[in-house]
Amino acid sequence: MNRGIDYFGLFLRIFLGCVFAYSGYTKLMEPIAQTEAAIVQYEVIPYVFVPWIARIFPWIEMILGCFLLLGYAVRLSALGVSGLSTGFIGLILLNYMMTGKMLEDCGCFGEGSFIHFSAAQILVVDLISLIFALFLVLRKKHILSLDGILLKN
Amino acid sequence: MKKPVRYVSVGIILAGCIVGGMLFLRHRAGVEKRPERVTVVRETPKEKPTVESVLATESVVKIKEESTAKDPYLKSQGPEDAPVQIIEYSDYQCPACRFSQGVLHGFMKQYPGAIRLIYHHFPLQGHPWSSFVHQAAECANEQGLFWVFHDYVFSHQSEWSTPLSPTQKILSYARDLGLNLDQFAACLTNEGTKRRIQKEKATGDDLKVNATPTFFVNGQRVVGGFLLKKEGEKIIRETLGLPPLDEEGKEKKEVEIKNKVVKTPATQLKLPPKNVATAKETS
Repeated sequence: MNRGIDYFGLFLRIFLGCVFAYSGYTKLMEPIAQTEAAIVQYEVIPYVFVPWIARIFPWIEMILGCFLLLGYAVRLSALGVSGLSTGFIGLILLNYMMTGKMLEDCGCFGEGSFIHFSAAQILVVDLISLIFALFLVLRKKHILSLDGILLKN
Repeated sequence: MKKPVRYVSVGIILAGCIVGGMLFLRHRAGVEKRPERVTVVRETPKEKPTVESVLATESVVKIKEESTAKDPYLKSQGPEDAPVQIIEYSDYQCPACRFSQGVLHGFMKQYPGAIRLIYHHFPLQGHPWSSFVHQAAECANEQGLFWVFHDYVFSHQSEWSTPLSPTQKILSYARDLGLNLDQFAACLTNEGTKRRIQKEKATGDDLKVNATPTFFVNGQRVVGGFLLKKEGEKIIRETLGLPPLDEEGKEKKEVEIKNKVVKTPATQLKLPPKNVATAKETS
């Protein structure tokens, strides 16, 4: 049973790692203006923060995604991912409450990506990511991870 | 080495490798590589560029030759001798391009007669319906209704930009806009029209357009609607000899504002607190 949960945790870790690393990668491989344009769609974000968010967030997504894939600082990375997911959920809901519209393209995976989610779809993905990430935060042991090697007694 | 030190060191090395790797990939892919400005708008900062000087520059002449003289299907609006020329390369299926349309409309409204907008097709390969919709727009152009169709397609992007084929929707738009449907349908499969679009896209490739939307405002490259609003407007205002805008999009007229503050309460003027304080101090 425990073994099963371990493998389930590994699956969640790889899933979350892939989602966030890919999301960061696609945005980083495009001009910043493209990411800025995607962020500007969320009218609740003040213009002054747009360049900062466009420059910083893709790197955070990329690093957290890679850390999860490699299994380094899994609980901390998962906590970061759950924070990002919560932020995105809050942003989508707030934007919906303030403007009354759900965006057709959330802009989460960049322009050139083969994945395009609407705000409603990404809301579901973020909720799932949040649950998965919290599961990883609560797990103390993570198989096939750098943590397992580095923290071995 | 102590365990915590080793653990943190590994983390730093990993993060460094990730950042370094990404920077290398970005460099190799030419992301954010800003080619030299396509034209020199001003020789000296104080001199206002004339229409002739801007349009005489090599790259703009090249664009003009390719788009005006040889292309009877030029898609432009605004007077030919307008002091500001905006060349747009965009893709109908790109949300960022849709966003930038609002900025362009705002410019055309705010600076009537001062801007000439030229549109160039730049369908991206990653967007499955782009080529088809660009072809449809070019077909509308053949019937003299390009800009109407262009605005309609962008404003209805969310409706047709789905995994399902947009053919029926595009045909219904053409019907709604009063296009000759027989001529339109025949044009949709016309190879010549397709080649014309590809030729337009090739001019963008020549100018190293690597993202949509890309604009050339009097020859200066501006990528994305956000920068178009910020940088593009700055170029427009400089060209027209207008004062720059502040953070809130209002003209910077410090002297006039300061004089007004003496007579009028700040709440009525809706000035930011910083300006009010400065005005009071100087008055």
